[in-house]
Amino acid sequence: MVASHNRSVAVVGAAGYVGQQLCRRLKKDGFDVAGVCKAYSTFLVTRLGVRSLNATNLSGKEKFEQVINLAYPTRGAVYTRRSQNYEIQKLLAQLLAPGGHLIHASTLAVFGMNLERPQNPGPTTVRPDNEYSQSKAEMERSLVRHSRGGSLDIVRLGNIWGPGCPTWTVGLAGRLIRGEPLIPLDADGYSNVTDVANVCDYFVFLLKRQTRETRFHHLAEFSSTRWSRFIEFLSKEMRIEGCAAELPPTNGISRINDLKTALGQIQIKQALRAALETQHLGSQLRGILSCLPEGVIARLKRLRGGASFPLSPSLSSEDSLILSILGCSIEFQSVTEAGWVPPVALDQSFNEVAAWLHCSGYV
Amino acid sequence: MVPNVTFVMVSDTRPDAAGTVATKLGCARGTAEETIAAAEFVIIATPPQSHASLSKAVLEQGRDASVEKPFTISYAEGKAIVDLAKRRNRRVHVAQFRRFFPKMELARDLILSGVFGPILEIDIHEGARFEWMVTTDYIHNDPYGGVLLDTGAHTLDMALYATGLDDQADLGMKVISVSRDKGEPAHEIDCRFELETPAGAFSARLQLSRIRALANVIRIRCERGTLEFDVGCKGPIWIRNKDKRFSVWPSFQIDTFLQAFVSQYRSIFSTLGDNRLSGCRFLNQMRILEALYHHGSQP
Repeated sequence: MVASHNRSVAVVGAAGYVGQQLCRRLKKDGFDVAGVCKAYSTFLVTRLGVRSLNATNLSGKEKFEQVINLAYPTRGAVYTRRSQNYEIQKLLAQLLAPGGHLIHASTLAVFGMNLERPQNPGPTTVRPDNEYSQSKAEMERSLVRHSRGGSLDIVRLGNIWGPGCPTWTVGLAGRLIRGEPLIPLDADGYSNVTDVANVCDYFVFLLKRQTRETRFHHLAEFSSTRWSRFIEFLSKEMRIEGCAAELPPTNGISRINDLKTALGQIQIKQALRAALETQHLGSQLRGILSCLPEGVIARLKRLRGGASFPLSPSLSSEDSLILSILGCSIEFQSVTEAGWVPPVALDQSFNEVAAWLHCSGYV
Repeated sequence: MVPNVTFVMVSDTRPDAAGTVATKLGCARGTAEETIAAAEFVIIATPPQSHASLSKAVLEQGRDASVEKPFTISYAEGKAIVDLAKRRNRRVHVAQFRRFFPKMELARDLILSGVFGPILEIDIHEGARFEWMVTTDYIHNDPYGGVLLDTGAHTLDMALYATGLDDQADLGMKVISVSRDKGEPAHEIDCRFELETPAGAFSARLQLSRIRALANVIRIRCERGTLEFDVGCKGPIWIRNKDKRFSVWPSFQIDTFLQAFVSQYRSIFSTLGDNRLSGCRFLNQMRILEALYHHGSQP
């Protein structure tokens, strides 16, 4: 059965942050919305007055002329991302009517987490990268390859910001409360932010402008605003000073540098010291070391784990990732369809977030 | 992880679920009665409305019990269980593992030291978009499956423990307002109430959500400063005084909830008299939760 008119839309990933905002907006605009999500999050969709479809139990009989996909792999081991992407694609194929219009939410991170690759509003190549960037790029490539004469819009979103947004609003506010590093020393990166209301508006705009081709869009209408503006705003509202830390050193992308990063987790010298104090192994090691020439001992002493005087508190891998994004020196410029104007300006966006901070216990 | 403990039997109203757990633990599966008879100590991890009856059965058979939160669904039920345990010379504990977050003891010591003066206000917020992959309809259909008893039992307990109000004799309360997204089981709730101690009364707010993110913070405003900490297992206590905000760290840290969970059971099985989780210390929590639960519960 094909939905009778193109006011009917399925939103995959409807229970997520953007999904709920989008469902609300589509319903307000008079669309007939079906929210596709996992069974345990159905209530997050139905409470909006939107009907829900169980992502793991679709009949495949109801087809939609228009589908918006917000879902991406988030759970399970990182090496399962490809198979999770495959499952999402199968789900999209079940929902989309032949020749239908698919809008897929991707990310600026397909150009690298620090946008280290040239930005091109066209197909991107899949290269070795962290699991998030790579799985997003792989999904784009697969969707382009399998779009069969229908309309495909791939929207690469900047860093999403808005009231209650998990990563960049709740995330930054939470870091302020907990005193976690938030301000990269000597770096004030481009925020590359897009407000969630503008994201929803752009999706609605695209729903009304479908073509029989594949198009790429970049959305980060506040890209040129530096992160310091956002952090100062949160800091002022919450009356908490942010904690600064040095940006972690960036190494080039290579197997050797990746191995160094992984081995950096192992404190070899501490491990050797601990081993030397054990009974059996320690006895053998002490015996071996007592026979080694002094030059070799000196080289062993220079192994990783020696005392140092860090300028910043030791950073977790999450701290390092966040700080490197906050220090991003490259702007991700919007590339959107002619005729679209973001309805929410930056000041209004800040007002919305301020209101949310006040009613959610942050102030 | 907990020494000198052996699992002997598991029971559940769903035999397949009991079988799965029994296999993992390497023990037998049985009915509730068989399980109570087979063990010296019984862990009750059933829905809240069965906690009182099961605790009673355990204690009457001369066993000790640990009950999952919330202790019971009413103050009267909780008091009856505590009194029964005392009469039978048995122990009943409530498994509220957040009391074992390192910052909790620090917060409690700071407040009870009197350095900050009397409490003026307590502000509690915990909320996040629901992401538990539940396999039952408990949170949607069980009248006690709402966010107040499910999450609120934890967060409220953190505030009561940090302020020493879990132990406060003659704690009174008055509900000012309760708003919910829907009738119980509600997924969002915002409660304002007053607590009365012999030292005076002060206002409190408990805001919880399964739908959206909240600050996930507990603030205890006292006459000479405000203590603030997030509801997670790590991190310091933040102290705010006028325009200054500074941190005070506990003497050790943990990385995961599991470590607190294990500490909880070590305390329960300890012979050293750690009564942090003793049932009598949760009666004030029951009094507050019961009053909030029943206030306007059918909009």
